[in-house]
Amino acid sequence: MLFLTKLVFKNLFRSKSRTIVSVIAIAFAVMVVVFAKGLIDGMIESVTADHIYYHSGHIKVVDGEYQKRERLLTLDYPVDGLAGQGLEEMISSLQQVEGVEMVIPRLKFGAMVSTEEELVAMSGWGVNPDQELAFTDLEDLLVEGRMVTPGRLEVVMGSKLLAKLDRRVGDEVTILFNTAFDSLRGVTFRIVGRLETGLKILNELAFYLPLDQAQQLLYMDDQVTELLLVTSDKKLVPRVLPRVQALLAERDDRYRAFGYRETSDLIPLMDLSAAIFKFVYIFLVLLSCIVVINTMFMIVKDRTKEIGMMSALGLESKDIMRLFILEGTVMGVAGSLCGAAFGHLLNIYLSKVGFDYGEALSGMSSEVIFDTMLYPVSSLSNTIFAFALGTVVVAIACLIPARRAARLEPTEAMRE
Amino acid sequence: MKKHLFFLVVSALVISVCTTLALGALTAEEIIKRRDDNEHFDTAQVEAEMIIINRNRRIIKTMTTYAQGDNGLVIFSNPRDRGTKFLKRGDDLWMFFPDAEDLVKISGHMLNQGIMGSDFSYQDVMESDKLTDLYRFELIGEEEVEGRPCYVLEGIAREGKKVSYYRRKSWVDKERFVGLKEELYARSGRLLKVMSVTKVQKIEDRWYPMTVVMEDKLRKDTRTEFIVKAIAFDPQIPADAFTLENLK
Repeated sequence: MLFLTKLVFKNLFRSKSRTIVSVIAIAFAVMVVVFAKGLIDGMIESVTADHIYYHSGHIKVVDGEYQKRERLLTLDYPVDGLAGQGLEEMISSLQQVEGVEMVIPRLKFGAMVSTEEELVAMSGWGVNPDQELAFTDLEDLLVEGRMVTPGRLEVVMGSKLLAKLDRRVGDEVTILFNTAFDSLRGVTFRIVGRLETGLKILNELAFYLPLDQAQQLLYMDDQVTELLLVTSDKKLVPRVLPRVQALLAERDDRYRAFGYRETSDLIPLMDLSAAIFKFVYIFLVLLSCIVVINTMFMIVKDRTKEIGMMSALGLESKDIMRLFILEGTVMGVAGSLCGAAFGHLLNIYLSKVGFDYGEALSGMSSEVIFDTMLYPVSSLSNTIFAFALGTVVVAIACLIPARRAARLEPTEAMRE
Repeated sequence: MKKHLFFLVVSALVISVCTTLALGALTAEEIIKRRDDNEHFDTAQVEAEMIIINRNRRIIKTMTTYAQGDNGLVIFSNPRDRGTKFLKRGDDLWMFFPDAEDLVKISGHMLNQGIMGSDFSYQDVMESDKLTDLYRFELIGEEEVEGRPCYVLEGIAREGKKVSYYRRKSWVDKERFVGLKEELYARSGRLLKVMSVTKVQKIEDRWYPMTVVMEDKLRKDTRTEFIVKAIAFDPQIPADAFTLENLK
């Protein structure tokens, strides 16, 4: 075996340029796999996290009718307690469900601001600021000012919404909205914070205000439009959801509970993409294998006489096959190692700077929860996966030229 | 005595036939003009109630309205909207809310929205021109509405006139010259709203619709009743009633 290994390295250095081209081809393919997997994983991670933070929590509880009209931000179907026991009691009952760590109430409603040029449509989110800061990544997005304070007529808005309204942090803004009793009402708020994010819904459409103020202004005391349940891990949702559904069915069948995957159109799509991309990664490495196979065929052809001589001197077919598989595997390991290393470094860099898809996605509806800033994920497991994929696929691909070399008849080979 | 009686009966018959013939010969323009004479006013003060029925919910809003020419001022007085004021000046609509520090100007598509969630849009109440100025009417038949004989007219918006509805089909009471029913259509032919008058009253020598029911056909299970509680034509309205300063 040692003899074969020495021979492998000797052979590889005999035609350096061919070896280098093969290694580069493998390295490039593996690097692309590391990058693409990082990008896809980053996209799925970002879409899932944003959907959980700003739309559904891990489990979302709403009135069954509200679910059908959610896009209209109707106030006609609020969450106001289980069988008339009040919202506080409902929150405390849900908190007692095994696996539920936090219950976050939100009151969402349609609103608008009249500017000189246009009426700007918006979506008001009445929230408990402390809970939102604890649950979401809002603190990172809050680039100026602070979060709203309960009991005060304050709002926090995204940069683009502020630009549309021609307002800054510290200014006042009069917001119009319909109350639960269909009265058009206008109220002046102070802008206390600015959010900077690639999420269009937060940047251009929504504004935060204290939940107590929203309830009072909309005539919805002790009512919200949705309750978001948070578990310690999103993987627990399949176990916790049936318990929540059972509680609601038993206490008040007006309400429905949905897992975060049920309320997203994008997450199942992303998962499907990820499954399809696994085949794309294999295909990419196979493409690079064509170069390796070609190189090895050329090596077999160049060394036909040598193979014949080795066979005549007693080297068995399986040893010749092993020799060529080893040569290919060494190229595969070298190429995969380089590609995985470069891909990993590239992902480390891109995970910090990210890609701005803002312009490409400018036509996308503000209601779609999709961050236009995409950050690939740099993970060791991805890098190891790509390295292993490159090495294994190249080694398997080398079987073809190796078999051909092993099948050569010594007498015929020496005559070549 | 018999001669006198015969003369009276014949005279009454002749007058009746002549009147009928004369009225039967009314053109569409004349019918709408007579309707405008009843329903259109230059200056008025109205105490009204708006009942918005949305599925099982019933919301009542009360208001006082002042109108003079192109200008109008609505002051809401029901508890939840008390102090809210809408001011129409020409084609502009301004709003004052007790909790807002600025006046809010409304324009664009918002004017097509229902006032306070009702089936009446801001545009519906902002159109202060006479129907004869906005539409070209044609008499298309005669029908009964709630047992009252009516002229049926179809109006198409006049070129260059800004109107909320391109076409309107009106049922005008043949005797009182008040619109008893109206169907309002978009340019595409889609029926947008149906308005019916359920109560008409004679006020200061003119018949006036006192209860109007509007149904927005683009919404489900809703209707709005607009009930005039009291109306005064040509009242004294302070000169500054329609200024932005007065709105605050």
